[in-house]
Amino acid sequence: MLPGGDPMTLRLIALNGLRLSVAGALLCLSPAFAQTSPSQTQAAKTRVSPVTHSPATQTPAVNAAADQPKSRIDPCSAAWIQAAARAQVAPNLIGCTIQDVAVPLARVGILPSPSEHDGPEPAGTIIAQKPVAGEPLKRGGTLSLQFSTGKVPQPAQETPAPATSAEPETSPASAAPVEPEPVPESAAAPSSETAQSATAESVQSDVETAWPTEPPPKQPSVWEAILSFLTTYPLAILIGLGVAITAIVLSLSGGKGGRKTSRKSSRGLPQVTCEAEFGPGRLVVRGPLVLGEKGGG
Amino acid sequence: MPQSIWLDSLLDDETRADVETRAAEAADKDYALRRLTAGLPLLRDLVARAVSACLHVDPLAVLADAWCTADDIHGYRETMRDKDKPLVLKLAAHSIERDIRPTVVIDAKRFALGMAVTLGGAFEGVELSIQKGHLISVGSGACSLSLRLKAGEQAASPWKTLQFLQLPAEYRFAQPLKIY
Repeated sequence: MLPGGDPMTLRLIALNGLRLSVAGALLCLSPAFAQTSPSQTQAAKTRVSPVTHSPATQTPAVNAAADQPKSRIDPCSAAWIQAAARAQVAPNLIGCTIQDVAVPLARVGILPSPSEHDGPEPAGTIIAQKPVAGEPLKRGGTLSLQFSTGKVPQPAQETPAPATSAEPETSPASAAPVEPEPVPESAAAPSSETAQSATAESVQSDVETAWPTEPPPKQPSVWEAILSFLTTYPLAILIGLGVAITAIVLSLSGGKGGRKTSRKSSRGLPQVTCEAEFGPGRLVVRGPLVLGEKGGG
Repeated sequence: MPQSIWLDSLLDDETRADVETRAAEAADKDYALRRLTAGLPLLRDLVARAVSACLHVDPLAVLADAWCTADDIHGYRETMRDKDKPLVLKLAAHSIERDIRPTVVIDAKRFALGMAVTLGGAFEGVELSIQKGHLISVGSGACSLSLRLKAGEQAASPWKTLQFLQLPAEYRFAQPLKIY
């Protein structure tokens, strides 16, 4: 049992403060999480792979967060991840368990994208990440994490490699199980720090070459692109709105005039006639009007 | 048989232009007609020309209405024993005025223009032929036709002499005019 107590208790503490939906989504991210037994979790927390997972192996060159609190801080802790997030670089999570880092990553706005991989490491142990530690990773970015399933890969049985292939096998089955040199810790720890970092780099490069299912770079959707454009260029929004409103107004006014003209031209000019209304006749005469009958007296 | 006399044919260019100008002004005074002709100068011209064409009337027949309603003529006929007997009456010198009020019709919509064309005639030595209670013709004598325009509240224009007619012996109207 770890000093932290029951692993399940640790999980609940880590999820504290998150919304239920977020926490549930994070827990569902890793199917191996649910399958991980407490003993596996404990084993993962002990970090039995000292070469690649020890905090001492985190070289300052690849981990910008190394400037943050160093040796005493657990690299899998939330503080370490937050420090890396403030620096907008990817934290070094190799050696950590996916269960430990999922919630802190989500808290700092980094979306973990886990994937399983057979390997000798304890189940849930992160064996590779992309982007690698020290590479830029902004808030909201996706951090692909490859964690071990704890199953030792079987040697190639039914699918022999092509005879002509002279390249080294890059499949996870051959690349992942990199066994650290059996160097006694008492002798290696104080003297060969550079050797450890070199070994760590070699392991990191091996893991990278063995990345089995590298997710394609996420292309921003159209709406995301539009939203980012609008937020980036608010003046363009105003100009575009102005142009659009002007065009609408012009089209409406022009359209009415055009329809009116076309209607009249199609029908021709309206029929215009005039009717005369006559008033009463006013006769003015001095004296009698009728002088007499012609031919009469 | 003498040719018919038409009032519009007696108008000279100046008088015709004056009539059309007054008609256009009267059309502008009408709100509905002004909205209809706004932005369409051709329609405005059509209205003016329609008013001018509205004067295609027989001026003597127009003025004959005063004879048909004259008390003297009616009274003279009443003294006759045989009222259906044709007779020819000699008239003293007199003058007749009658207003012509044009109404413009545009697509079956009627617009009464606030203008009046007053036709005046001064007769001297004319004779009227009456038959069966109807005025048949006028003849023998002289007639001076004149015109006066009045639009809206404006003062009427001065009389303008159109034509001096030496009437023939018998100028028949197109239709017999009933004497009241």
